[in-house]
Amino acid sequence: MQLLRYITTTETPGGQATLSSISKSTPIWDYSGSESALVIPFSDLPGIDSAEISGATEKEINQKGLLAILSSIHNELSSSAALSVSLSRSNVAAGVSPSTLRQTFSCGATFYMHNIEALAYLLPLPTDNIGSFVLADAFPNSEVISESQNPSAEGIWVRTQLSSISVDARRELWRIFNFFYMNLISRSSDLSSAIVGKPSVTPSGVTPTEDNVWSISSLNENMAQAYSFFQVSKSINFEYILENDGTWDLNITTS
Amino acid sequence: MTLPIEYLTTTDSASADSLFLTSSDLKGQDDAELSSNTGQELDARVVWGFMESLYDYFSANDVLGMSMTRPNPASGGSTYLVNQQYSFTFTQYLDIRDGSHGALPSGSFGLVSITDVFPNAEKVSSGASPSNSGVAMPYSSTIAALSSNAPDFASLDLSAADHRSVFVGLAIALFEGIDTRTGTISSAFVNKARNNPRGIGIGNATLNNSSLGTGDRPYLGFIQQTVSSTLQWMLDISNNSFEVNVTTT
Repeated sequence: MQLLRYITTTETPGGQATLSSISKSTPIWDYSGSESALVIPFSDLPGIDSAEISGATEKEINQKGLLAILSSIHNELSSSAALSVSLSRSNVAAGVSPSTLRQTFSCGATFYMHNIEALAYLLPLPTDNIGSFVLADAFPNSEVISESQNPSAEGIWVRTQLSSISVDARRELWRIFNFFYMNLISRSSDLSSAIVGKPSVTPSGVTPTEDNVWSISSLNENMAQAYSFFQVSKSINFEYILENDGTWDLNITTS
Repeated sequence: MTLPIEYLTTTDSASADSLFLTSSDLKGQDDAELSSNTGQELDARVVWGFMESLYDYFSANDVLGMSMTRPNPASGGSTYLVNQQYSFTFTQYLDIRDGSHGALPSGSFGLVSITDVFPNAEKVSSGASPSNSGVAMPYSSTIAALSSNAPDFASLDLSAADHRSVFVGLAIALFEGIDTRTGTISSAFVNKARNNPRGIGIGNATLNNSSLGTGDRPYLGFIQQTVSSTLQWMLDISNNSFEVNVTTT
């Protein structure tokens, strides 16, 4: 299943029917009418380039593209943390076979459930916007285009609900991570993949305090009884392979 | 202390009679990297290239009385740091009748020449220039001095079929010459170790591959020694490369 797609400046997202039709009919990917595509040019994607991706398979684009996207977002969030959502990158872990290493990306979020509405939300940004995350921070040259537009630079694209790269993208980060978490195939004896595990933790309750909720968000403490707080985390474990020419790459192989 | 190696281009001259390894023969390295680094930065890259090239050959070929291991890489304890160990093990015989010793003499099996591993290696005499760019290792003061069976520089013949004694000298010279990282010494080597030489038994299956006569075998002892070093790399996520991480503790 194509989660990410390579696009040139003469193509349009709508013209690439495969992803369009699959994504739109997939219940987990709810567009609410939005038909936008987030196009990220290679200049914003560490570790991949046009030469590597233009001829790559669907699986390679999905996995290498995701690693590049997560690397960029992790770089941004490690210098400027976002409220209510986080992306961490573990220490590299010892390999289980020669020349291989493993590393885990974890996306965590703190939600509050509005008990009357029975819906969950990320903590709202405070009035000074401290803790915001916008796509422009991680991908300054990316753009949101319609299905019929050409991107101004080649790159990879994924569907988005956002209207621009300068609006709050914290919820979109959680959604996109989970979109990949659900759809990426883990390695098995039959299926080659660089994804060697997708750990998840059971959501746990959070007791709201000044430090973790009231003073850092715009939630009204007087409404405390209307809310329930919890946190949840999903992880994707990648395997890398070190080549003896001094380069490394995702190790897409079977078990 | 750094290694006594020197980087030479085709217009430089060697300061001593040297065994010369071309940059392109050192896996993972190239001219640009070797020419722009000195001291510990150069040492780490040369040893890395040497070990990797040697491992590449030894993992695909049987060499009599010599082996290399390269265990799975380990975490360097942070997001992008990786530790990789390389171990080189060699076995020598000791003849109790006359005290002679050396690499297991081979008939035709398990030989390795320098050019098997480093196809463009050359001998560069003091004052002469190499025909490619690369690194020169002074021969007499290191390799020959550390391996009693290695030929002297004048008799070193790169077209010969067997240079196992030279590899022993080279491996020990590199192992002894590198600094491990301390609070004041910057190095990419986080560890090095050398075990006590140990006596081992060698089965007839192996001895039959050597040229040791059955009549000599009762008088021979076998000694094995391992030197290992652990190199630290840093993954660069901007271009999916990795490089030696030369720093203090």
